Amino acid sequence: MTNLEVMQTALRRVGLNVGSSTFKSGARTYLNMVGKDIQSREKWNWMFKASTFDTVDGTQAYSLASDAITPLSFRNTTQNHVIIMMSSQDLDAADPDHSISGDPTWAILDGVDSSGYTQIALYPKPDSVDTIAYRYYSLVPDFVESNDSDSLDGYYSPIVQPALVYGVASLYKEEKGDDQGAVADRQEMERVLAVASRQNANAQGNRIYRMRRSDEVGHFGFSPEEGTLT
Amino acid sequence: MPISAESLKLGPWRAGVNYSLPAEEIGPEGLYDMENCTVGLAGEVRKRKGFAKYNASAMNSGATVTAFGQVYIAAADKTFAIAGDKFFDVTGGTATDRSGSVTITAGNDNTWNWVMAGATLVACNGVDTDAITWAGGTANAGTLDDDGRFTKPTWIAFWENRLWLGNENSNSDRLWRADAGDITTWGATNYHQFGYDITGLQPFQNTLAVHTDEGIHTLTATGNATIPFQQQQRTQRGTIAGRSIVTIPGERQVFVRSDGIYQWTGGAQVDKISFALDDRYWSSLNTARLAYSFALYYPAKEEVWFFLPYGSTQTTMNSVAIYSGRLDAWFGPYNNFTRDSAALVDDLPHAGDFAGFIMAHETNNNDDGSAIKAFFETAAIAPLGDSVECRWLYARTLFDNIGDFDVSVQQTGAGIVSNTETITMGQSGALLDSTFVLDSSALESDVSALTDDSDLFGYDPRTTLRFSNFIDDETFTIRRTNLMYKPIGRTRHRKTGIE
Repeated sequence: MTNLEVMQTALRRVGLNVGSSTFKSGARTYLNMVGKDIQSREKWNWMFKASTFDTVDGTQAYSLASDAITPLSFRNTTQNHVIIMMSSQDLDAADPDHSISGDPTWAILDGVDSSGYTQIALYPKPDSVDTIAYRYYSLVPDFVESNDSDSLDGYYSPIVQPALVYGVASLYKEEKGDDQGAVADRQEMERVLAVASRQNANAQGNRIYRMRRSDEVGHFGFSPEEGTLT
Repeated sequence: MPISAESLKLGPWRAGVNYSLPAEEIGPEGLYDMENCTVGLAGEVRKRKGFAKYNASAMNSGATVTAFGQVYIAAADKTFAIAGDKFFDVTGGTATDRSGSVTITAGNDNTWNWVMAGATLVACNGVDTDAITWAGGTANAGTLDDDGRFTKPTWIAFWENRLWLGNENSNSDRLWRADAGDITTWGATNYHQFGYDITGLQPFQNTLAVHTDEGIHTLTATGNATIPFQQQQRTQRGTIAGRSIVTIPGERQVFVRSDGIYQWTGGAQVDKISFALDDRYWSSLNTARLAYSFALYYPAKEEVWFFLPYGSTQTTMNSVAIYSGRLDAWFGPYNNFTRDSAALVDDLPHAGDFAGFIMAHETNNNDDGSAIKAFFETAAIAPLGDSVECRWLYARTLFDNIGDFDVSVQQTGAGIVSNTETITMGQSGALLDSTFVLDSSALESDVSALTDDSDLFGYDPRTTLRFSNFIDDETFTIRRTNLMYKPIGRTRHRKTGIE
């Protein structure tokens, strides 16, 4: 679904004109609000992402992707080694004037750039062009009008997307005073999210986890004793 | 699962249109606005019928038709017309010049008033020196012998077996009478003076009503040879447009004044009957030209068509307001044409245009080949009051099954974004005969009325619908509509309008 499809489907449920810029603007605000609600519910597997950037000779700080809220790991795919994360205090202690250059083996969280994107510093400062791959936990940005025709697939799992429709409709109905209708849509949203949550919990590749037997906990224990079986 | 909704029924619209009230103050049986629609006896709203040329070729090179009519004369039904400076026998739609040697001065405002004076048609226009006569058959028109008593008479009547002519060139307040049974003998003192310009003549009950702007005067036969008629002023208001005086069943005489349309029933007062046209309609008329307005009674529907000048600078009559005697209500206007004269021909309204044609109205579903642009708009009723918000769900409209025509339904409201839906007025059916094609033809429905649902949107205490169709040869008949809504309750609005 696109943002617009979500908004217009929700507006239809609310009973508002789907072509009105006023109502679309309201629906967009609610879409962003509902999105944050859903994102904060749990660690969604579809919010783990990966990306790359290329180092520049002599440049220490690099901006990550716009939706990278929490960097998780870095690796230098050109030189084929991992990059360990360290603190900024450790960087400053190791290289107070940030002058040491070479093959970077450390990454440091370095605040945000002027655009608000997460920024990292590499140590030593790169002296060549390498490709750095990284993993991160994403944040869905606030959508604006120019995003209306964008697909939501890059931000929300298709399984979750119907919840956005119900969530927007619910909030809009509350605004219009239709509490009864809002509750009905809220229930639909929760139903969808419950299903998505179960699916999220099971998204662990092909590994199967087996619950331990209840008698494996508590007082029962086994330990070999010295002696013979006679 | 049924929809939990309340219903607001709008229509049948027997109260017609009301231009004097805001949409919020009109009841469910009234309409806020309309053009080119008519209201039937059941309160249904229909697209008006169109018009077609009565005469195939333009008369007098496209001159203005300043008068015409259908009369029984010389043992035959004849349709005559005056177009520009010529008099025509246009019976059956073929115009034959019967002007002879009469003088007719062309001009849009040189309209003619005519009567059948016994076996003779007599007409005058207040411009040409003599009234003209026509005996029908193959005769040419002639001039009326008025014994040289007056020139340029404006108004004409035939009453008490006498011909009456008023507002002549020298004395605008004078009404002359011919001798009984002799339209060519005029006594030197056989006239009445009223002190005010005579603006129209019309026999009414047992009197001859003589209109002036300042009142209606009556002449009543006394039976006395010396003073054969008694003269009385009955009211303080009369018409300003003699061609607009129409007497309708119930013995009501209706006529145009500068502020509206009035009715006189023969008593000592007149009553304004066009309050519903005030404000949004009447205030847009060019009142300076109302003296040239005219009216036509349509007996089959008991309607009076008032041809009026709509627009502050409009000089010709381009708008027809309809008064329904049966419903005592107004509808219209009919527009998109201009007319200079009107009369019944073969019991249907006809009207003369400015291009040499008599147009036969009420004939088909187009205006001489052009689309009729028709719409009407309902009242804006708050079913639960101004303070209670409603969510508008859908409208169920009842309409006549008249064909595969689409009607646009536009929903509006102060807090609602305008939205347009479409409903189809039935379907074009086919008979199950040799022309019927399986998997293609649809059987003709025997259902006379159908319903269709159209979406409504938005939250507001009130909403209104506008039905329209602007397509050639398409029509509609809407019986009523039910607006379904869900009561929300009392909610505070942050601002006026759409939020």
